[in-house]
Amino acid sequence: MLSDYQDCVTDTRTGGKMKLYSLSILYKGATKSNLLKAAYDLSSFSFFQRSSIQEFMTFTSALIVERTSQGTRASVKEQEYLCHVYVRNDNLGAVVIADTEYPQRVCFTLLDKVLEEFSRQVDSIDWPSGNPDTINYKALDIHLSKYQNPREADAMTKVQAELDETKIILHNTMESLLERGEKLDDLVAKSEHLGNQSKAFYKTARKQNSCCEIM
Amino acid sequence: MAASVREKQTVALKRMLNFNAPPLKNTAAEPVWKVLIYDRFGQDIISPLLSVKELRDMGITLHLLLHSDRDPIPDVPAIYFVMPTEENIDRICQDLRNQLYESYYLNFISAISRSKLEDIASAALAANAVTQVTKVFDQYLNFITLEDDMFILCHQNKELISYHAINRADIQDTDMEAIMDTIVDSLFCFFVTLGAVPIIRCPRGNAAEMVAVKLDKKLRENLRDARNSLFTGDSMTAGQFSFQRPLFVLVDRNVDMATPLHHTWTYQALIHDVLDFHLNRVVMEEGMGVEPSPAGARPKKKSRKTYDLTAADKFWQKHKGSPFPEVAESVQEELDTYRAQEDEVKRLKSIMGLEGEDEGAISMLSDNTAKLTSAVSSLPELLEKKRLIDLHTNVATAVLDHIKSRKLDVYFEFEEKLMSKSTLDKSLLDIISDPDAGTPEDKMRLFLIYYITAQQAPSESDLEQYKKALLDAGCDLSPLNYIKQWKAFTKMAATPANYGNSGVKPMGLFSRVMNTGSQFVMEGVKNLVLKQHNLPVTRILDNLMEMKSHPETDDYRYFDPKMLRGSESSIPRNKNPFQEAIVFVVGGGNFIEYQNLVDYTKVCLSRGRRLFMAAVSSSMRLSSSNSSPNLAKSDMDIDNM
Repeated sequence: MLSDYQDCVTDTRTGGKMKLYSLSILYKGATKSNLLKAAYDLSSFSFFQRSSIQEFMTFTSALIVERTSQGTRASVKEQEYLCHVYVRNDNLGAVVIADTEYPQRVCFTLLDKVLEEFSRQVDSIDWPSGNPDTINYKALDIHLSKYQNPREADAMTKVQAELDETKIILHNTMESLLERGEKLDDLVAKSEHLGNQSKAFYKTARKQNSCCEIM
Repeated sequence: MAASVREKQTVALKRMLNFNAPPLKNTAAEPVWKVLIYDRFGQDIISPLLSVKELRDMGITLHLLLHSDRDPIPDVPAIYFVMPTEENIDRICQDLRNQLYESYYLNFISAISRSKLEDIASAALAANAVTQVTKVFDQYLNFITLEDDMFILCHQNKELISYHAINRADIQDTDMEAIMDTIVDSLFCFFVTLGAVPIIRCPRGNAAEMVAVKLDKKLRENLRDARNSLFTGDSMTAGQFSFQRPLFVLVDRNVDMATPLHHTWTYQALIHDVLDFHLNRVVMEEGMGVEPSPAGARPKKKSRKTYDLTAADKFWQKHKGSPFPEVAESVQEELDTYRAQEDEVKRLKSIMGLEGEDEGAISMLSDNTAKLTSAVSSLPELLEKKRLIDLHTNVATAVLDHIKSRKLDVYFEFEEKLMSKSTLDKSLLDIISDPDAGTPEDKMRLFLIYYITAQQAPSESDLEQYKKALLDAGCDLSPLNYIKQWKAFTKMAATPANYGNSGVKPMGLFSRVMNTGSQFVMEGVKNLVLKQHNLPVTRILDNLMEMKSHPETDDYRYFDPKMLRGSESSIPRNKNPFQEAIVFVVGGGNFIEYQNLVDYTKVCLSRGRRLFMAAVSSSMRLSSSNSSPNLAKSDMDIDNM
C-alpha cells in the first residue's frame, strides 16, 4: 500500500512545478456573474476527485468576479492556489487559477489576451445572457494548454510595460472578498455551480476546522 | 445452509475436469486419463483449491502451461482452462493445427467473445479437427478463492487494478473504463458461481459507485437475456436454496486509509505482512533469520522452503486469526502433546519388545504383528501432525524474528492507541528516531497513521520536526505528500473518531510461554491482547445489513438488478435485515479487515445469524510486502501444489 501511495504522487509540490488549473471567462452582471466559457486542466487530480474540483473552481471564479470591481486586477490566495482576476470596464472578466509557483505577471498577460480575443469574436450582446453551451469561442482550451509552460508562452507575447504599473490587489484569503456578515458556507450552499456531492464535501471539510482545503 | 464459495468453485472445477459432467458418486470406476492445460490465471485459480493428489485422483496425469513447449500426446483428451485472450486463442489454434491431442475440451475462465470463438472454429476447420473439439465452455470462474469466506480478483497483473492504478493522477477515461471492466467481470463471475443475484449498496462519487453501476448493468442484462441460464437454477445452483438475497457492499479504499498501513498482530495477517505469502503459500529461506549472520561465521546454506496453509490444516484454521502470543503458546502445546504421544507409542513398542525377548520365537511373531499394527495405525497421523508442527514452528519462528528485530509489538500497540484515540505513553518522535525500532517503511507507516487519524493537522513546526526525523531514518516522504493531498480532499474526515474505542490491553511483559522453556522466546515482546472493536468497513457493513440509519451510510445507493428499472435512489425497498453479505473493497482489502469481519460474524452468529462472506480485491498487499513483483511465483512448478 505504501508503494501505491508513493506512486500516486505526481506533484510533489517542492517548487518549480508551475501549473494552471482553470481559465474562465465571465460576465459581471448587476447582482451575479455569468459563466461564459471555461477550460480546465485536472490531470493532476485523481479520477474521482475531478468533477468536484472542477465545480469548486467554477464556483470560486464566479464569486471572485462578483466581488471584484470594474477595471480591477486582483490575486486571491487560497491554500495552495492563487486565483488571478481581471474585470474590465465593460464588465467582461476572466479568472485563471494557478499554483503558487506560477509567475503572476504571465497570468495577467494571459487574462488580457484572452479577454481581448473573446471580445473580438463574441458579440457583446450575447454576454449578459450567455452560457458555455451558447457561446461560440473555442480557443480557451488551447490557451490554457499553451500557458502550462509559462516561459514558452511568455516569449511569444510582448510584455506590456504598462502592466507593471498597474495596481494588482492582493487578497490573502477568499474570506476577504466577502461583505460584512456574509458567510462562505451560505454562498456554497446556495451556489448553482456546485452539485450536491461537492456541497457535501465542503460541509464536512468545514466541520473539521480546515477551511475548504480543495479550493 | 448455503455452500461456501470455496466449495462452489471447487465443485465447478471438478465438474470441468470431469469433461463438464457432474462427477459420479461411483468412485470405484477408474477415471479417464487426461491432460490439463492452463495459463497462469488458471493456475492461480486451481492451486489454492485442488492439490496435485486431488488432480491425479481425477485422472489428470499431466498438467502443463499453455505457453510452453508441449509434445503431441495423440491418444489422450486435453482439458484447457485459460483466459480468452488473443495470445491464448492463437496458441490453441496452433495446438489444433499441430494435432497435439485426441480431443479438446476448451474451458474459458471468463466469457469468450463471438469473434474469438469464430477464430477457433476456423482454425479447427483448417486443421480438420472440428470433431475433436468436443466441448467449449464459459466457466465464469474468473476469481481466486483463498478461504471459505474470502476471495481475491486475481494475482497475475494485480497492479493493473490496484489502488495506485485507480487513484493516480493523469489517468485517462479509457484506462478507468478498462480497470472497471476487469473488476466487474470478476465480480460477475463470482455471483454466477454463487448462483445468487445480490442487492448492491455503494457510496457515491467514487470508484465503488462506478463498479456498482457497471455490475448492476451487467447483471441486469444477463438476467434479461433469454439465451443464457446463468441465474436460473441449473445444475450449478441446484441444492442451494436461500430464501433471501445476499447483500453486496462495495466500499472504496479511500474510506479508511489507516487500516492497510496498520501493523498486524494476528497470525495470518502477520504472515502476509512480514513474510512472502501469496495464494495461501509461504515461501521462506530456511536457516536464515532476519539478522545477517555475525561477521566471521560461515554463511548458512539457504534453501527455499514453501509451505501451503490449507483448509485441512486444523491448527491453521483454528489459529489464523489469533493474536501471535497465543499462536506461539499453542504451537508449543501441540509440540508437547505430540511428544507425549510419540513417547506413548515408543513405550508400547518397547514393552512389546521386552516380552518378545523373554518368550522366544512365537511371542516374537505376535509381537511383530502387534508392533506393526500399532505402527501402521499411528504413524501416518503422527507424521502428518509432526509435519504441521514443524511447519508452524518454522513459520512462527520467522514471524517472531521479525517482531523482535523490528519491535513490531511497539508499532502495533502505538498505532492501536492512535486509532482509538487513547492516551499515548510514548512520543511519536521517539519511536521514529529510535534506530533499533523498525525499518524506514515501518516508521513511515506509523507516521501516516498518525497523520490520518489526527483531528488537528500537526503545526508547521511539528511537521518539519517529524519530516526531519523521518528523513534521518531513511524514509521516502512521497507517501506523506499523497496522504496530505488525500486528507485535504476526503469527505471522510469524520473517520478518525470511528476506529472503535478500545485499544490493546497488555497482559504483562513476559508471557507464560517463556517461563515454560518453550521454543519461542518471547522475551521483551509484549503479550498484547486485542479487544474487539469494529473497523470502518465492518461498521459500514453492520449499518447496511441491519438497516440502521447512520449519516455515513444513509446516502449509499441501492441497486436491485432484478427490478425492471434502475433508480438513483438510496431508499432500500427491502426493510428486513440481511442474513448474508459480501463486502468488496475497491482498491484493495487486507487481512486485518478480513479478520475483523470474521470476528464480527462470530458475534452475528451468536445472535442467530447465518453465513457471511467477505471478499477483498486483488491488490491486497500490506505495505511492507512487494514493491517488486514476485517473479519467483511464476516459475513455480505446479507439482509443489
